[in-house]
Amino acid sequence: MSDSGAVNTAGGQPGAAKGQASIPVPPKLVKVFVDGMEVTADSRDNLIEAARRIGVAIPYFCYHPRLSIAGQCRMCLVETSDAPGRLVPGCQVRVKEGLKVVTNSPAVKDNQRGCMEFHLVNHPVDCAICDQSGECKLQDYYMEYDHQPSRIRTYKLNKPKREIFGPLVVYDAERCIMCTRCVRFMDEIAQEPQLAVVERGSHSLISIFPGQPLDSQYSGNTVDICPVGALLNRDFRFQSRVWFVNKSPSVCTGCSNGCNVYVESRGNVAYRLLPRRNEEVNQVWMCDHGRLTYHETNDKRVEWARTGRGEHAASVGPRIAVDRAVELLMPLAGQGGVGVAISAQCTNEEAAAAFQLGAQLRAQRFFFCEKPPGDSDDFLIRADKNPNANGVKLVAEAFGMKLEDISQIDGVKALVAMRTDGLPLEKLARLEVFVAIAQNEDASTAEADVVLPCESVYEQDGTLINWYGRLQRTWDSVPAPRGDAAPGWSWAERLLSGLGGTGFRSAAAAFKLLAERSPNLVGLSFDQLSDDGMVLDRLLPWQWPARAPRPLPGAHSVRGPQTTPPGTKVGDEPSGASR
Amino acid sequence: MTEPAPQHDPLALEEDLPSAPMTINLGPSHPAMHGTVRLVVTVDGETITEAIPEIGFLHRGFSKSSENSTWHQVLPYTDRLNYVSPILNNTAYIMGVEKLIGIKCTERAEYLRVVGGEISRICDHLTCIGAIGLELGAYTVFLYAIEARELLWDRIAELTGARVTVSWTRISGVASDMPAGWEQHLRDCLPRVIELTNEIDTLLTNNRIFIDRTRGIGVISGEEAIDWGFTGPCLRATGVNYDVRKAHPYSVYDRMDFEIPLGSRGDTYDRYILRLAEIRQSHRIVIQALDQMPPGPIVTDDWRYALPPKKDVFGSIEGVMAHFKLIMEGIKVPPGEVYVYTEGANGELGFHIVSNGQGKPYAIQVRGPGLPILSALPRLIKGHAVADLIPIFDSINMIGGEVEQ
Amino acid sequence: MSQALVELVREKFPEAVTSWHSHRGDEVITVRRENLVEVIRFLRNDPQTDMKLLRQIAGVDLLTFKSEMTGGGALASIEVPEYDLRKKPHVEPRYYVAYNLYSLTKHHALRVRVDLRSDDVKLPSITSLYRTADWWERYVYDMFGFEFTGHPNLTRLLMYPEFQGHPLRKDYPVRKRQPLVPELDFPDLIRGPGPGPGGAGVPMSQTHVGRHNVDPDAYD
Repeated sequence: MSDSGAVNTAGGQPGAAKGQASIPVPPKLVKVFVDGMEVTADSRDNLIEAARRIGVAIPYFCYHPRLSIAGQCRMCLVETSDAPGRLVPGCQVRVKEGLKVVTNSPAVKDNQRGCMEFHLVNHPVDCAICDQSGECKLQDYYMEYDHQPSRIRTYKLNKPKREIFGPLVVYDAERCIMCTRCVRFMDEIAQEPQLAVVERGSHSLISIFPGQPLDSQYSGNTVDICPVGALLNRDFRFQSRVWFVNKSPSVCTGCSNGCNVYVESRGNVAYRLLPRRNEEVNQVWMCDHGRLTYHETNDKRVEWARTGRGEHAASVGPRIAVDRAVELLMPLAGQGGVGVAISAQCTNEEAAAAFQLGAQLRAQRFFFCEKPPGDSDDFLIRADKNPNANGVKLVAEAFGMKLEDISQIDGVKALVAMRTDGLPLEKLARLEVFVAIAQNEDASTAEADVVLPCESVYEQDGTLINWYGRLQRTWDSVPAPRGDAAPGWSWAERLLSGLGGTGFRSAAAAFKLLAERSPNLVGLSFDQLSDDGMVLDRLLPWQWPARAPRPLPGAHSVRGPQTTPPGTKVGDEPSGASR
Repeated sequence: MTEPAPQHDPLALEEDLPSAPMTINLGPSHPAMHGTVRLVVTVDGETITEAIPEIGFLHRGFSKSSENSTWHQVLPYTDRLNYVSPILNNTAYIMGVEKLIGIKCTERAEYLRVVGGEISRICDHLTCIGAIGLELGAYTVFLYAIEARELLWDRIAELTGARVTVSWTRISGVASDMPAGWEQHLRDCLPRVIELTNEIDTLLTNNRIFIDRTRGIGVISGEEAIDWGFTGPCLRATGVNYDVRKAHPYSVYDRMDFEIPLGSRGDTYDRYILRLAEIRQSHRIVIQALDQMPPGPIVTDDWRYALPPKKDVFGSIEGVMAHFKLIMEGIKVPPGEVYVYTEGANGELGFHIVSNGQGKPYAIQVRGPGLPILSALPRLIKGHAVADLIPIFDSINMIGGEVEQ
Repeated sequence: MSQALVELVREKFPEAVTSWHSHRGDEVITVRRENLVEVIRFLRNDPQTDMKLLRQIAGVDLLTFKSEMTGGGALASIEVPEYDLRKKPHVEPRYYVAYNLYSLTKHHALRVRVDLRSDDVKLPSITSLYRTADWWERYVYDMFGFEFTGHPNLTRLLMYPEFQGHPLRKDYPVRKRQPLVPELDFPDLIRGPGPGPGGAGVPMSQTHVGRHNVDPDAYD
């Protein structure tokens, strides 16, 4: 199990905030009866989890398998043999040997219908403009449990709408059903208690503290767990309806933690990233910086191959660009001035192809470039902001080559760059030949003689190795083509065939070569890699990367007074001037 | 003195002429090959010895498309199956979905479906009879039939909003009620339709040429017809009394008083006469349905299956959520498999529907009444002249849309 | 009424009928493939059943029966452990063929089903019993690829002969393209001196230039 400091919630066990994994109860199996069917449940299960084991759905809003129990929504009420004539919340009650649970009796159904009606009494008629449509628990449970018309004949309560909570989160109080999942998440999992419940009764709201926006790096997860459209992602807001986008798995490229994600895309545009469940890497969470990495797949992409610098630059067809690159590189091959730069953003297959290309060009020098490091914490954020530094180093070892730092690039006459992150700009102008296989337009691609459009990691099959030595694979998650973009190894293959060699025609072929050459990947095959990834034991880190201590509350933002002075009006103003 | 000129014996001449069977291609682009069918006929002189029908030119992928549309989005596809009597198609499909859900149609909507369905049936029969007349040279008959059909299509347009592609039925109901004054308008135009039908009757039924061209042409016995899968007017022309509306009454047909005309010989003439008689019976049914129609809602108020009224959609969260889920995800039909069968204009129109509990059909296959009848076409035309092919093909009223989906 | 029919068949063919049920008024029995012809022959000819009308032969592919979902975004959220988009469905038996039979005299109906595995899609033809089975079996063959042994002319019914694949299978994508078919020429066709491109009598396909003739899978 990885020691990322994350809270471990194996077994779907509900529990108090920090000590979720450390309840020293050994797992025990218990037999219960749900709707007359026998279930073998873990003794730590609550009734919802026990019913889930045989596919019986008990609806819930405020319960979350990884958060503490609130018991607030009353939607999961069921009948049990322990409490005849009463309904008990399925999220709170633990299983007991021989317990009989009934989830489809008239009383339970009436409660479900009534709960839905109460939740909807003050709910605004917002479906047409609410982003949560299509993935909203209220909608789904309404059709399932309460398909009745409204009975209210009066006005609904008005509350603040469109409250900016933080850089990524916007809050709509009218849609909020006060399940408090967001509050509990920030308290327990993100461990930055930036949200709280204010007011009471029907006027309750979720609120941030005065002077303290919701600027935690994990604020995006509150949007994921919000069952309704109260907390919404400002970055994704109004961009697309969720049933138009296709969900496809991949791995985040924001840092070396390699959180598993789903890329939601339509056509060749990626719309958002959602965390994908992987108990050993990121559970079901992801950080905000990672959520925004899909922008690099959309914005300022190199779409068409280009030859020439400055005013001679012209978009050309791929074959012409490859021919031009070969024409520029061929005379310099073997002369000793050729270098290959490989970015830590490349997949292993792209790195392998770059080494192969370098070998064909008889390049003596291989450089390692990367995005600059950032801050880290003890949960999901690593300082190394490149997804595959470990992988590129493994590939270099497999090819028996030494990697130099990119700043040592003086003396190189021709450079082939597999991805252009972190290339030193001022030294590029001194190159005679610069062929860049690049994903985004930036200052370095403007200096290139030939630019070949590279597919992003979210758009290609490949493998990445994270800081822990975990080999994870990515898929072609945005399948629609963007211009002439192709994976880096595909461009290398074309360059190689122009130079008289042969390259990889598929990611699986590249991986096969790596598996043959590297002792760490012996016996692995690309098509049989598991969806969850696997830890390469020989790459386990000798020491954990430097982790910043948890920031003290308020340590990283400008704060106002910690308490609200007496006499300050709180909550009545429609747009929350006191926040 | 010269010898008399040798007599030319026509028959002797023909025996001397060398002849071989010839294969002719009819269609698919041929004015008489309705619904784009290709017939490759082998003729010996004028007599057809063999015929191979080839279909598929109108196959539009109804089954595959319906697997990728919600239950209501399939309705416009069903219009285009038997495009001459679309309300009957809509009704049959929706009855299948209602059977799977286990929901009943509202009473007023049942009567409305009967009215709309029988008007569609009259239109289909008029088209068929008009085509028979047209292709045998009786152009006036065609014009009379089209005039009658136009009157009815105008009524359908007023009722549903479209002349042909109506998509009018909904789960447990219909989409729109009769507009004000429509019932009287229909009652006023039906006598004209019957008048035109009677004109066609007087023009064709006792017409020597027509009888010569259709009597005894394309004969099939009842037993063989059943073996070939015939249903509807083509089967009843052979004398077999099978009409789904009487054998297994559905909707409110059990409250209607009407007869099933039967033929005796199973030839083209009987098929024509039968359709004429069925127009009159359908007229009877329409009048009775209009008389018996009760007031009431035209669709259920269960929001799992019918869209909420617009004032609820715009005014309440429940309404907008129901509307939303029904449109975007489709109506959730419980899993199961049914075969629903109704009396379409050409025979038993059936739908084999499989649902897996989701908002889209899992599989739909149409039992178009025309497919078995078309498969028997070679059997019907063998031994007849090429000129007989035309009335036979007209009389079976093969509609390409329902045969080829 | 149809319930008695099911009892009769089960009595007569106890080992052939593997399951039976009734749903919304429709009676369905599932029989073994080996016994299909004799069961249907019995249903057709026996005076008690007299099912002389074969209404339809339908094929169904059960590959995505459990996994095809529309919506339910909140119900299929990341909290539910078993939700896995990449699970490839694998179902056995994958197909079934349903025969809808009817009796015009007794007014009872029955659906006879035969299950087929994904690797074994042969079953006997009943064209010897019903003449209408000819085209229905050709339709099912065309759309699903099941081979009806003993069929006099098992060719495609609706699709053209060069069509590749079987469209109603669930793994046939809705928007799949087909390879372009070169224009067929009839060798014994007599052409007139028409003004076609390339001169009289030259088939169009030889002069046709354009992107269509490029192999869409060609690299670059």
